[in-house]
Amino acid sequence: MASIQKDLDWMSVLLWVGLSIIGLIAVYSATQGPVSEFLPRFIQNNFWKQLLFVGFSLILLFYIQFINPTIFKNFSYLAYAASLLLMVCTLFFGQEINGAKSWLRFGNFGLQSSEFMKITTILAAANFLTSRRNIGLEQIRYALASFLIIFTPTLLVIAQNDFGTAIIFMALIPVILFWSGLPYGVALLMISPAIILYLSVFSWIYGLIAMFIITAGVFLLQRSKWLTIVSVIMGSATVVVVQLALTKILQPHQVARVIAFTNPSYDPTGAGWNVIQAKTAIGSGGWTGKGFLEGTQTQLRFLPEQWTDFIFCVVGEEFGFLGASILILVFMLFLLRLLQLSINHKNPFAQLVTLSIAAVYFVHFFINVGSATALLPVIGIPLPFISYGGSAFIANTLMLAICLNMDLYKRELSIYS
Amino acid sequence: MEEFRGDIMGRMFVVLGILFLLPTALLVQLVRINFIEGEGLRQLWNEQAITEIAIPAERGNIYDRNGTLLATNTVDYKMAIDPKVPGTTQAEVDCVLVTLGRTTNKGKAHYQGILNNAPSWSRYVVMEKNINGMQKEELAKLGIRGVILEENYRRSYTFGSLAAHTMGFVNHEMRGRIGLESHYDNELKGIDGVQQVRKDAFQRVFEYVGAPKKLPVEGYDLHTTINASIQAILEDELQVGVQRYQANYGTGIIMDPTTGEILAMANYPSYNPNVPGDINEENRRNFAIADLVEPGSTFKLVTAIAAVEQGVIKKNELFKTPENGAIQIHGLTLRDHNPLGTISFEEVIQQSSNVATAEIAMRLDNDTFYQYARNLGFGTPTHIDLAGEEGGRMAKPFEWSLVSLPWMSHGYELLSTPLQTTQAYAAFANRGVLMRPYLVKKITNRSGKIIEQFYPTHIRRVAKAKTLEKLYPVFESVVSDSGTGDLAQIPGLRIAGKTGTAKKVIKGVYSNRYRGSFVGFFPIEAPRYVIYIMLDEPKPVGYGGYTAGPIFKEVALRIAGLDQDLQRQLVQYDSYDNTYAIAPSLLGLSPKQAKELLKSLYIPFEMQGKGDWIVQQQPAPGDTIFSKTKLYLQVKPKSGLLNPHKDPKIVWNGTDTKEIERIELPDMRGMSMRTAHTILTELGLKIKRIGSGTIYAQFPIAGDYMRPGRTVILRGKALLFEQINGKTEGE
Repeated sequence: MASIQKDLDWMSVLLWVGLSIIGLIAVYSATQGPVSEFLPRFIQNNFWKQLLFVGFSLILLFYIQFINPTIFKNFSYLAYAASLLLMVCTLFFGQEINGAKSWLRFGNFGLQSSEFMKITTILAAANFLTSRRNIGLEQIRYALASFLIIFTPTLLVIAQNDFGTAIIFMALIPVILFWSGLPYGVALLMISPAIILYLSVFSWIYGLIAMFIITAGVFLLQRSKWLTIVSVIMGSATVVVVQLALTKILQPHQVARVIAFTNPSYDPTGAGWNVIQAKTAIGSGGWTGKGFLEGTQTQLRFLPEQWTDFIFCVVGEEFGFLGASILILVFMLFLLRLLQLSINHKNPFAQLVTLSIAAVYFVHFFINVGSATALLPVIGIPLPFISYGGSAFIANTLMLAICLNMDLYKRELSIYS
Repeated sequence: MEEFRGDIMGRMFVVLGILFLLPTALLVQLVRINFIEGEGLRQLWNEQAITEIAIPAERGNIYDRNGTLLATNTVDYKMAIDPKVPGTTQAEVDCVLVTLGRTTNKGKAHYQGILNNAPSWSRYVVMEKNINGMQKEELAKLGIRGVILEENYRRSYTFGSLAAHTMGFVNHEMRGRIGLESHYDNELKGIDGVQQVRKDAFQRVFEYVGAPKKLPVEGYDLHTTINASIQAILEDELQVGVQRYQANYGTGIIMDPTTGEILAMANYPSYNPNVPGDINEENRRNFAIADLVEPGSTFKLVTAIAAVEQGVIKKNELFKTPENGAIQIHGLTLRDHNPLGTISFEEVIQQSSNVATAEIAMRLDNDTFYQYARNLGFGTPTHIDLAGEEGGRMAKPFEWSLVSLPWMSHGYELLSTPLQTTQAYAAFANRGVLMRPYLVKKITNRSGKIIEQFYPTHIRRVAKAKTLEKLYPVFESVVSDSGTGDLAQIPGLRIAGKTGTAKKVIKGVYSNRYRGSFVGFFPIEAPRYVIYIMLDEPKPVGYGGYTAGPIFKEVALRIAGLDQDLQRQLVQYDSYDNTYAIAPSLLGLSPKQAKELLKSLYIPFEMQGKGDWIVQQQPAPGDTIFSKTKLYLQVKPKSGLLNPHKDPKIVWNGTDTKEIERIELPDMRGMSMRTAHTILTELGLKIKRIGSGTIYAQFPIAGDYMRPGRTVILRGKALLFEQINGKTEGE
């Protein structure tokens, strides 16, 4: 039997504590600083609520370590079904916040069901895929089945009008399939639309160039005529759809947002406002920042949603380039550690679950920081462990707890494989 | 199994690659924002976080020539608190709130409420937008750093509408519009100081950053050539004149011919620059410098000077004018107001004969005449230091028609401003030296250091002094019993002048409407004052001698009363001869009644029109008339109209020998308002009080000759406790 004291991965726990503390400092600055009186009452309470969530999560983190790891695999489908039901309930009885109908309200606390859906989806998909060995092109129907396992909750999240979270789910598909043995070429083909789409926004020429390079990659990796043709068709279609969307389909204000991403000065007080203010916050921080509670961009609310989607700017402004770099480094160390845990598993289920969880953290991290630094268009996604948000913090900690639990009992787990 | 392991390792490398690649992209972006775009972003941040606001500079004062304050500023303060200045204690904040509550009578709780309701991060809580100087002093005395006091200046014209057109006014941003305020705006406005502040995303100031970055520099003071007493006299008489003769408007200028200093300049109707609503387009026009009019007979000065200097008039030459008073010049008829017969040169000017003047002018060649007009300042701006001056219009000789010279000789076919005519007569009075009219003698800073001084500007000599010496008696004869300016006579004072009556051009055609003007100077021995008066469409008779002349006289008399040297001359002649009388009111009487009355009083008269009653008379009832003054009476038939003077009353008090009562105004400064009231009421004067308590200023000043019934303005203020105790008031 493993001992928590000796065998728990304290390194991960330490990094988790570090991130949580950075998060608490940032949320404090964003909601308790000199401007706080200016904010609505319920936001002023955010720091104290977050403190409560962190405390609760800490207990949860250790409590999970006493659970038998087989439970995660055995109850994965049941949990998946239950959370799907919860998602549907949210769709009917949920509370709408900022346009997204993703909260179920229980008394004083709201529950964001999609946050927990992430966990059960990972568990269910991993269970499904690791029950079968080596999904190659010849077993494409398994790949399709697991695609459906992830895509069903994605649709529900879209129905809740929460596109940010939907992107997280979508990103899980190539990661899980790739790790389960999907050929490199096919995996590349799967992520190609995202890459081409991103580049097409800047210019359709970039999109086409990316399409040709990816097609060449697919051809070299798979030597398959059909896959190459599919790659060309998909790539071209993406470029065309983007052009059509920008000129014909999207509403002017939506187009303005896209243009504001590529050129913020196009509409500095409208769609480009967030981008400019976020960059100004980070850029004015300099090397060491303006100091805790001293950032005027933060304190004077030039930034919107600074306690969630733009929390990275708070860190960047008040703690400067060094502070922001340290945050990125801590996050990367944390993810590396999870990858290390993943590779150490002999149990494919545990391995895939750990990797997928790391992937979820990573996508969150990349999109959030990418939005704040204007590398990506503004997509409202919280930064795990840093941004304010009870459901997200608890769900994220729960995922870490599962990883740690499976790591703690990895010797016992390997027996079951 | 090994193969699977190997495959996993390969895939792990791909995952690791992505894990390093994308965060590296983030770091690169972070470097880009911080260090490559950093400068511009920091600048943007600075702009939206720290901004500068202006600390208003106090606008300079405007004084008259004797140091009387004409325009200054009132100040009130915006009071804010910075409760978070390092070292500020709660006790100090309480102390400020208590003091503020006490001085404004709103109580401490009111301000405590404001402070409590303000966001706790704010370091700029506005407590009161308008507190006065006394309240400000109390707060400043506390010496607490957290108290922020911002000056808020408003322009104040001490005497209301006095010299309003010359002063001009300021707009809501305290920038000068028209007049001196506009012309000297750069000198008056000072330099605003700079205060750094922080503003939030809603552009509201929430913190003062440090001490002022730059202190405001107060505007310079203007010391003008205006004499407030003379200005007031001119305005007073002009107003009475415009109302009496039912003119559209009137304008007047008083100038010192030896220096070009403008002593007074007035227009009526006027406006009160302290009341912005009073300032409409119509009233703010300074006719004295902006009105382009045909000067009429006053321009005969040019002809006279040119003719005498060029020697085209023989000694004792007589000029024959046709019996009907009209001649044909190149097909155009030129007529005199009355057939004058055969007259000498002196009588040409005295009687203002257009016919003879034209004949004299035609002895000169065009260029010579033009040169004299030009030398006297016509057709070119006077360059007075006042915004909005018109330069006049005078065609050059090569543009002239055949009739230009004869018509110009008596003041038509050219446009000039009242100021140009005044300037020309000033040059005449000044023995031929044309001076530039000016209004500002010196500009000083607040502590009295002279920044710029202006001296009289000698422009040119317009004619030999000898020539002009010959002309003084000619123009003096105008203001004699036989001249057109007889109503401007003042016994004891030698006045030279000229009347002017110009037909107005309305829609391109000469109409039967007139501008009456009179310009003169005195004393001839050593002229000190040139006075120009013009009325637009005076009624019922447009002649300048009948309308502008009496106004000139009233003004000149009162000025002479203030002038110690001239007053002595006046006193010798103070008992007027018995030919002096007051015009009776004949309005509403039947022609028969009027005839009998006037005959019994030995007043010559002329009736115009036929009908049942008298509707207009000239001079107006109550006016001064001389033994030879003709009363013009307008008679109209009843024709169904109601008699406007239902109950005719003869205001005539029966004696034609009684001299007109004039009251020498006593000095009332330092008296109590009540005492002054009693004295003035006994003297038969009306009183307008501004303020109460002890009188510190009076208008007109002591020594002015006033008629009963006129209004004296008294300004009073309560003496401060310190003053009673012999201390000076601290500012």
